[in-house]
Amino acid sequence: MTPGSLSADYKAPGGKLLRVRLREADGRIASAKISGDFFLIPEDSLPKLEMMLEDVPLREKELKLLVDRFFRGTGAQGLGVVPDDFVKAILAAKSLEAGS
Amino acid sequence: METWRLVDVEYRDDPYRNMSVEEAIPRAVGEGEAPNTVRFWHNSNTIVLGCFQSAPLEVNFDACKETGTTVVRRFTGGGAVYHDAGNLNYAISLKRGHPLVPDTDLQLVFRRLSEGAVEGLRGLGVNADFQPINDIQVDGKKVSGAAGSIRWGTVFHHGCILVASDLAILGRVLNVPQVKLADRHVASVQKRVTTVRDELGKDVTTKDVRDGIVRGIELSYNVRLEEGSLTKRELSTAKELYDTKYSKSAWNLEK
Repeated sequence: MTPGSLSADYKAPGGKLLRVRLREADGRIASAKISGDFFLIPEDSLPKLEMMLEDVPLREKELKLLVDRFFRGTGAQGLGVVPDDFVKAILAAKSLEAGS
Repeated sequence: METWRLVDVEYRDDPYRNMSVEEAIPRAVGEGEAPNTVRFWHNSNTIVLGCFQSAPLEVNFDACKETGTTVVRRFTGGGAVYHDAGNLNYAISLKRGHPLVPDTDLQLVFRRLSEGAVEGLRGLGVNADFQPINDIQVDGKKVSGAAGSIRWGTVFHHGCILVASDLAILGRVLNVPQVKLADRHVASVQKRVTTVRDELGKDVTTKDVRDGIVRGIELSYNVRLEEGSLTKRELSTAKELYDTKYSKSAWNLEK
């Protein structure tokens, strides 16, 4: 099955924007690119999150677990975004596709 | 009274070299190779992207071509900003552990290290206030944005102040997502930003603002700024960063 492209721009309540571009196959994330005007330190941790998202089911429960594991494991600190915003941004991409 | 180094090192027509110096300084400060430092500098027409931003999503490349605007990516997060000769950039690098700022909370870093700029602008007659997360505003309009990081053993904060920038070009070269504009209930970039010149209602130079912020920093942090120059180590680091990172489209455009 050819991976489908999903995207969403999600404005976090903290004020910053998460722009998610995904490719999904069979209900799982094939690849993920996250961009935006948020702050995250250490800055080089973001590619790790993108990599960890690969092959994760596009479901809230699994995404929450994965994102929490990323923040706990790396000690990364967001500003303008909180961990749950990453989950919501990814789910927004999924729901936009469902609605299209 | 503590003394910090003040450097006015800039390459107005080479934003890649400017950004190389911007990274070389905090690296040197963190290594103990350079003292705590404040830098002022300018870029000619340039978009500076935050390190997490996507160039194709954020930049109107056609408008950049028409206006001769260069695109460079910085090493800190936050949003894209437009620089021109009417825009003053400042950067503060403090060795991690400095009692002035916490070294674990970026929001507190922004608040504390914006105080010098706020004080400087107020001294010039601008009714400026820090606005979380990372802005300095005048009556709800942004006059300065900041970004920063805690890395390489340094607490780093930099900001750009719209002194007399061309807001019309700013509005053309940046693609501002509708979701951001809608949230602020305004129609365009131009309507949610202002300049020091417009606030004062008279011509003001970036040198005037630079001098005001020097005073603001000295007052706010009870330090003395002493003019200095970059070390050989900083210059060689900057050259290496230029050659391997900031002059490369792989860094600037390919995210």
